[in-house]
Amino acid sequence: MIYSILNYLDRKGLIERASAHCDIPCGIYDPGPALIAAVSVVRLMDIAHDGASEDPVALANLRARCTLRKEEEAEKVKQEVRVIWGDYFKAPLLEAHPNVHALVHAIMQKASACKQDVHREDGLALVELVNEFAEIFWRTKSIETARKTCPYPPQLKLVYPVLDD
Amino acid sequence: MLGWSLIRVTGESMSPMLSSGAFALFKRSAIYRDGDVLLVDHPRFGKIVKRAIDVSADSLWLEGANANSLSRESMGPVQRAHVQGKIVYQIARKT
Repeated sequence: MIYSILNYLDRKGLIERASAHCDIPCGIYDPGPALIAAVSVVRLMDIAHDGASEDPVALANLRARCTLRKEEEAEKVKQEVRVIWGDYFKAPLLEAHPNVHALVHAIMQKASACKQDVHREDGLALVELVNEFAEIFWRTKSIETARKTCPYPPQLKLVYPVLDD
Repeated sequence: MLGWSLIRVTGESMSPMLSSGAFALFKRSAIYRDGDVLLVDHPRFGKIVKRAIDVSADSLWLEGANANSLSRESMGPVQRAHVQGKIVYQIARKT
């Protein structure tokens, strides 16, 4: 309530600002790309399983493409999460969220499992792990999150930040 | 206003003690101690929020709360006249 009132006054330009400077340009970190990549892994598994072409060559082509893209998207999950974990999370944040190391390790392992096979449950587990990572990330910025169904297949629940404007 | 300042903090150098987006109330004081979170009108960086260290009779040094902060050397010693108050209350963004 009080925060909302102050936020309103701030938007009207009635509250002065002071900077808690960093000595490097602030990095732009966002777990969104990792989440989209994780959802893409599930989607690619679905397409590979549901391939309906009667032409065996076309079906082989489709599955080869899905496998290739799934490999890339799973690797992207790992890369995006590694960067946030390695560059954004500093000692104070790690102390406040000591489970982040185990969570990131679990993401690495699960993303590898998604590369190795086409088990949908692995893909779903990967999405859930990255959701948890996203929730921790936004919590470090004191930004609320909500789990909403993504507006595209496979329509899974994803963590989105709830932004003021 | 009467030695009080209501400020919105931007930047993460005081996180997790004081996160970006939080509102903080500062009160001018005659006494500042090591560890106080201060509002400072810095000659080079403008209005900043930092933690006091090595407070002496006429000057003090500043530091952030995490490794991302400007270093104490880059901010240098500041005269006490530049200190506009120490934090007495904060309202963090709801989580």
